[in-house]
Amino acid sequence: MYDVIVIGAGPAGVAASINATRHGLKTLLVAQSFLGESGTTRVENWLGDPVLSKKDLAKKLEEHVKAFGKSLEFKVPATITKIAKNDALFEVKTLDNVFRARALIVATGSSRRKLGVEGENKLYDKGIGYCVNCDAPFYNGKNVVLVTNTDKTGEAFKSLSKYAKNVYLIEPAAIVEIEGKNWVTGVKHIDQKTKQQRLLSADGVLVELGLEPNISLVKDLVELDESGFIVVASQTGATSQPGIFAAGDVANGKYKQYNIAAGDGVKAALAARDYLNNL
Amino acid sequence: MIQLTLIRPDDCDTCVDVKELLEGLKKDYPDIQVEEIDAASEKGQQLIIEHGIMQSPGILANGKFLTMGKVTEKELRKKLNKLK
Repeated sequence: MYDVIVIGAGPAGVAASINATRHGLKTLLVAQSFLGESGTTRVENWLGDPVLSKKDLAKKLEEHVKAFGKSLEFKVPATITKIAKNDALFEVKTLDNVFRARALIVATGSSRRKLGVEGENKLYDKGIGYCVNCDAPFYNGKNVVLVTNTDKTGEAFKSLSKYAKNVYLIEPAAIVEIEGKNWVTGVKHIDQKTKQQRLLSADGVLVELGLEPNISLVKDLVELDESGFIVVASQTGATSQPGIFAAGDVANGKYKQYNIAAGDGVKAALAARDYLNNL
Repeated sequence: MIQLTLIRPDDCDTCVDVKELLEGLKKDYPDIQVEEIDAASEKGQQLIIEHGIMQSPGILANGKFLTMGKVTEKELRKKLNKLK
């Protein structure tokens, strides 16, 4: 049995697990990978390193965890299948094990938000992209549907318009289906004026919907805000569930950055220590 | 020699992964050379249109279309073996 299990090995999870260990908590870190899907390829604001690739940062985080030797246990890579509360303990089930702890720190980060319509998974990477800046130069002279509702709409439209023949801006709620066999050929959507379903021919669909928190494992245990982020107390990272703390991009903090996530992780570790001391 | 041309934009996770794959394959394919071209540059745009590349990164081998978008090591090896 552990004092605390940390879920996720990005800056928040690694900072939380290191600091929980340093404060004498028997700690287990469980994650799919170090750094996971989060962030960009090039990191220019990580303290102490003016420029880092994402892979180098992942390596540094792993090395830092390993430097603690046996005092900080970690299971990376591991696939978590379920997290449950059983009496006063939290159970973390992986594909081949069950771990128990008195407190939990959730640092599962966030991923690019998807549309969730028919055809999206089938045509992923076959004309559907989630990085407008990455894919825009490849749509020279093409007809592209841009699906967005974030504050980056203007920027995304401008970036795509530099190359595409036509950019069709459609709200995510209006998209019904993305059509195509081996590549996107069109988008079925509800026309704003006629309110009728319409098929628009397109060579590609670029989706820019911001971040989606990775909360599937804990969504029934803690309170979420309207966008799905875990609601935390800003001073401690405490969630609505006593004993569960959240840190980094999965929590409802305003700003999402590696350094902020790391700070959140430290804060959650200290709060978990205080919580356990007061049990 | 096989000249591989990686056509890529600046901020692209997949492109970094593909570039690392290509660099790693140099051990087994010492005759490959990798050059990178910015997808937004004039030359990049010319190649994108010429070869119908619609996903980042695009890869040309000796000036001919090889692949685009995500690619696995197995797929790359298969394609490179055909070029030998």
